Amino acid sequence: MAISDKHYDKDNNSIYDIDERLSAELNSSLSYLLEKNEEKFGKLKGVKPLIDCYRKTKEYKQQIAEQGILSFIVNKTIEELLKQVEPYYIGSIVRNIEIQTRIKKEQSTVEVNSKIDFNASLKPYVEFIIEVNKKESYSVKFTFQIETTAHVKKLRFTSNADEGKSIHIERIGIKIELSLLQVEFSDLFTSSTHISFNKKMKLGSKSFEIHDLSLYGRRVVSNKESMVCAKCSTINSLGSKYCTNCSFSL
Amino acid sequence: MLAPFSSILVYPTSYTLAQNATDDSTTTERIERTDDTSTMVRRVPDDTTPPVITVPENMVFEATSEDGAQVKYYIIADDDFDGRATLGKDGLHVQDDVGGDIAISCFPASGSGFPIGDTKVECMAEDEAGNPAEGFFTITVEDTTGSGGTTGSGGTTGSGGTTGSGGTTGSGGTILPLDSIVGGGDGGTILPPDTGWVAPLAVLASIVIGGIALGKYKSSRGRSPRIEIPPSALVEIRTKGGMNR
Repeated sequence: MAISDKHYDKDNNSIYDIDERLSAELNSSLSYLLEKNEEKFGKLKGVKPLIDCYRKTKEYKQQIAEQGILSFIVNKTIEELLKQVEPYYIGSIVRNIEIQTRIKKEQSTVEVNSKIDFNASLKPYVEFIIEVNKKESYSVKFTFQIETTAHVKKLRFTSNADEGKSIHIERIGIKIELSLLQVEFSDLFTSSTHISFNKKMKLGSKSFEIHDLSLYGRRVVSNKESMVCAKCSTINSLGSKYCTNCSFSL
Repeated sequence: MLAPFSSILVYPTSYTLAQNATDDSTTTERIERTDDTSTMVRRVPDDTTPPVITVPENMVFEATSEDGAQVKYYIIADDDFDGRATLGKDGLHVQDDVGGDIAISCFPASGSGFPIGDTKVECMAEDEAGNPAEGFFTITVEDTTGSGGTTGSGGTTGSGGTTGSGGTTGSGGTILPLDSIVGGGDGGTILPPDTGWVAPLAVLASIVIGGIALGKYKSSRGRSPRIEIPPSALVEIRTKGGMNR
């Protein structure tokens, strides 16, 4: 039997917490790829009505005008992409490791020295929902594709009652290729949809490598699911956003 | 007979480029090569010129209440590629059929309540290629009577204008530094001079929920969809993400 039969909880969150460096590297890579395409992004037909609408928000006057409206939209897109992509990356890493190593659950510590390669293809979307007088009125939805190739070298899997499950990877290299697939404008009242962009536009690729990456399994205590803080190992109740001990984001 | 591969010589070819502007929208390039042949290429250059935004002169109004006054204005943006767009005093955006669309927005919007004192109105226009332009003007609301409004019988003063029913802002009378005023249901619709005013194109949906107009979505001839939102509407935008399987 493998490490786990599932990699996501009922809310589609990964059942593993991960070293925050993966999140930082993903953020950096997505930022790099989207920011260098900012001008191209801004010329998409679906972006123009979004820009018009942002200019009518309170936010625009308060903060967006200073940083630039397009940068603001790009940053929002990066933020949402990261939220969607990160748990799937963790799931992909765990799934591929377990498939390719066939680690048995009952084995307490296993070391794998061979190199593991895997690919993943994700299609995350980011939707901007425009509310007029508190009613959802329009949406602009961007669908992306992220192709990933990764290689893992030397990993150690640990499972015991005290520390729970964990995977330590000596070196992981990830290359992501980001493309925009579709831009869809919807009138939510009439359900009319206008697809203003529908082809694969490659935005670029970026590689990074992390050494000594750790993934920590979330523990189940007395039939009640809890989350273990990756920073200080305090057990927090399920649903907590921050660690009660060190305020680390769970 | 073909020369043996080893004897083929490649001479570098040099070109000179000459650009002749033929009219406002196209450029002719003459490519001259050293072998005395030349090719004329006519191309449409990229639109790198921002639109020209025309904003009203600074305006002075009398307060109609202790909060100030409601003021309406209009904006025009002209672009060498995308023609003319007008943001009417009621927030209606009108675009001509030339080229692409020009987006216009102003803050505070036309029809907003302006407090007593000076308020700087910032307007932005952006043509289809994304070239931005900005314009500013000041609206000053004065309270000379101390009672928040002057009395007036609906007269609107403008050079060469006609009056609508009830004056421009309904009560109080308003001085309009505009050239053309046409009577309308709400007391006069202000049309800018020489705008080539056209009817809105291909309005697909007019959204009214519970008697509150939420806006209009317009899509015409493959251009960017445009959302027309009344100036007084509250607009909020939130994001959400997901994963397509």
